[in-house]
Formats: sequence, C-alpha cells, structure tokens
Amino acid sequence: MTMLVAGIDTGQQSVKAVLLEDSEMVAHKAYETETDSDTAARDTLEDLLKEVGADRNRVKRIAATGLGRKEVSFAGIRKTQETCVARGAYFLLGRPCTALDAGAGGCRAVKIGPQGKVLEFSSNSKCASGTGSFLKAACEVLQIDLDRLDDLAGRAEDIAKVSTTCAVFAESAIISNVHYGYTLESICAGVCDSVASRLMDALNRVGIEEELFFCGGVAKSKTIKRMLERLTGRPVLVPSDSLLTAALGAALSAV
Amino acid sequence: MMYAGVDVGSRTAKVVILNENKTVGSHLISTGPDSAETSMKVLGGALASAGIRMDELSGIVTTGYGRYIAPFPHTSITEIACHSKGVHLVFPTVRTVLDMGGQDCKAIRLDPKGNHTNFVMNDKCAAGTGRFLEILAQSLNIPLEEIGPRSLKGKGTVIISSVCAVFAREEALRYRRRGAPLEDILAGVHESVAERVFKLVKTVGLEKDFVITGGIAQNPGIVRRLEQRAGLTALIPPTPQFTGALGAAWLARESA
Repeated sequence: MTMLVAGIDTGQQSVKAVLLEDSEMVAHKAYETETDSDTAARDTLEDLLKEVGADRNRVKRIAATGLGRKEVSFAGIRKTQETCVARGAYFLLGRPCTALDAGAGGCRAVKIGPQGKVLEFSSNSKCASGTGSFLKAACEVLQIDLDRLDDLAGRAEDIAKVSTTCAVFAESAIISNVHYGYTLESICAGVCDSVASRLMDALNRVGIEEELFFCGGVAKSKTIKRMLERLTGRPVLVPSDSLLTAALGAALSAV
Repeated sequence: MMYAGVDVGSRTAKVVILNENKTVGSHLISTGPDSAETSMKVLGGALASAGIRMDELSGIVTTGYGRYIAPFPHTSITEIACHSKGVHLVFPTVRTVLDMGGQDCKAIRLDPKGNHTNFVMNDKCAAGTGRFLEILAQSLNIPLEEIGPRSLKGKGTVIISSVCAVFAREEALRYRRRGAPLEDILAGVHESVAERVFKLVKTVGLEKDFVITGGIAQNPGIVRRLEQRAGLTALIPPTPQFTGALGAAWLARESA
C-alpha cells in the first residue's frame, strides 16, 4: 500500500488540508477555525482520511504551515507560509513566478525561482489592511456577503476611495461614502481598490517577474484580480482552488 | 465678549462657549458622516445651552480632524495647540499630556508656560484609540462604560498580541469561544492598549505632572494601568473630552 503525506495550513479563519499519494492530490478540505488550531487541524485531517477510507497509519509525514502552525502538536514538519506558497504555486504552474497570497490574517508577496525556491518575500500579518479580514469588515458595514460585494464592485463605473491604511477607519469612510450618495457599486469598488493597492505595496517590495500567481481567500474576488491585472499590466493567474495553495505546498514538503 | 471653541473629532464633536474667562455653555454629540453638518449641529446645541445667538459670538476657533470644513466663519488651529492650551488652563503644572481620542492618540510635552515642545501621534490606525476599545466592547457585547471597571477584576491570563483592532477582535473572540472569562479577556485588551499608548508617552518623555485627556480618560481600566506604568497618579480634567474645545475657545479669545 502506498503511503500518504498531509499538508495542513492553519489560517486565521480556516484550516486547509491536502492529502497526497505519489505527489497526486487525493483529497483536500477547508474548515472554519472554530476552536484552537490544534483541534481544528486534527478534525480536518481525520475527516480527510475518512473521505479516502485510509487509516492514520498510512500517513507517513504531516507538515503544518500558516499562522497556527506551531500549535499543531502532531505535525512532524513546520514550514513558513512563504515556503509553502512558493512550493504550491511552482507545482501548479511549473515555472518561476511571483505569488501573491492574501488570506484572512495576512498577505504576502513571494518571488519564486527555479524549483520553487523563495527568492524574496514581503509579508504583513500585523495589520488587517490588504487582507480578507478587511473585506469581511466592509461586508459587515454594508450588510452584504463577499460574493455580492465582488459582483457589485465589478459593475462599478467609478471608485469611491477609502483609506488603505486601516480597516477600522475604512469602515467610517464607507459610512461617509454611503452618506455622500455614492452608488453601492462604486463603494464596493472602493473596498476592492483599497485591498488591491495594499497588495501592490507588497508586490512592489519584491518586484514582479514573469507571471503573477494570486492565491488565498482574497483571490476569489474577480474584481481584485482584474484590478491587479490593470495595476501590474500583466495577466494574473488564480488556481481553481485558491485556498489550498499553501496546504499543497506543505504536503509537498512532506513527500 | 463671547467666544466658541469647536472640536470636531472623528467620533465626537465638542463645543465650549466662553464669556470672557468663564465657560457659559458646552455641548457634545456623536460625529455624523458629514463633518460640516456635525459642526453646525454641535455649535447650535452649545449656543442653546448658553442661551445666546450665533451673531453674539466675537470669534470661533475650530480644531480636530473636521476643522477645515466648518460652514461658518472660523479660524482653524491644530489639535496639538488647542489641547496644550486647554490642559494648561486646567492644570498649569502639567508637563506631559496623553490625549486618547476616538480615532487617534497623542502624547504632548509642555514647557512651564504651556507651549508644546514635542509631540507624537498615531492617527494612521485604530490601535490604541477609543475605536479599538469600542470595537472590542461591541463584539464582546458589553456596554462601553462597563469595560474599564470590569477589566480591573480580570486575571492576567489572556494576552492579546495583535496591535490591529480587527485582528485583536478575532483573538478576543477566540478566547471567548474557548471559555475564557470576560473579565480576563477585558484585562488582556486593556493591557494591550495601555502598553501601546504608554510607548508614545515614553517617546516624548514622562515628566510630572501627567494628565490624561480625551474620552478614554473616563475608563479606569486604562487610567490605572497607565498609572502603574508611569509610577505617577494621573490628573484627569473634570470634563476630559472638552479639553481641546476649551483650548480652542481660549485661543479665540486671545486672538480677538
């Protein structure tokens, strides 16, 4: 029987796990982090194993990444988010690129060289601007969900700008924009524009070479993807399951 | 002669009306989404409380983040200058000022005459501001005025490591889900704010006497923790939120 390896990415909002068999993805899952990272990681992995009908003994190695990686007690390997994003992106794309990973708890730009090596990176996990938490906070103020925010933003004719420095201050700016009579479309575009320009700051610090690979929960936003394409002047590639890139990279490092 | 000081802050707007050197009227309202409208409304309330008309004012000084867009004749003066003046009037011996407002926080050093010689300010993000505490109170579902006193009953078991208000909210809610007592979480939140703003005080240099102004001066959970760090008892003005407006009204009088 072939052995499996697992990669687990414990983020601020969700836990992502990937199982590999002979470097082939056999199962993957994303769960909301309800409890602590250790419990959430364990539950996610057990569910995955159930899905493929495998016993825990078949798992040769487990690698953890993400904000909560140090809390995952049963992981034999721990890797930084940058390392795993680089591995995952290189595996999916098969060539060097610059990756932009934006999740609920942080964002990072990683310049990736041959064999998926991290050449340079810039990351932020101290401040909510440029992260999924910023989008979530804006959704709460506007009382809409993320898909709708993205959809409305995509149809905007102009952009009602908001602060790019602080998610909390942006909330007040959004309320003022509503008051000043901006359309909901342009207000939503302002929110996406704020995230995109903050992500550009991270990208500019490492420089963009070749293609731009965009992953993490924020990469689900088609409007932010389009804004990045316009700002960088090059196509932005988003993997089909953008949440799993780092978990995949972690699993690859456990092979 | 009568003068008005109008302080349009990010969260609240305050006005003080002076008849020569005596306060004859004051008013405080929440800042609405339109700063011009807010400044008109708060000034109207203060005029009513003083029982006078707008045209009886001989001068108006505006301050605060909305100071430039007031829709009446006025002179705009920085918050630092107005605050320094307001503090010096109430406590002439004060050399170190910590003003904790709704969306900013500043530490100011004063010379014996009440002129500011140095200041540092965080107005870029909500860390260490009233807004930070408001957000945490809201998500823990506790009235704002209760969080300070309750934080003093908590044990030091909860550590909030995020400086960002949005991430700190997530951290606090995670502790809550794990069953940590509210008082302990509040203690952690207040420790984190106190630690953050005390750094500003140290940057300008702490010297006796030390005053805390702004809305957060009414929160004993922050005041106690700052006093512990400073090793000094903080002076608190009777109406800490009006310090800037009072200073502004005095500067209107002095420049008349």
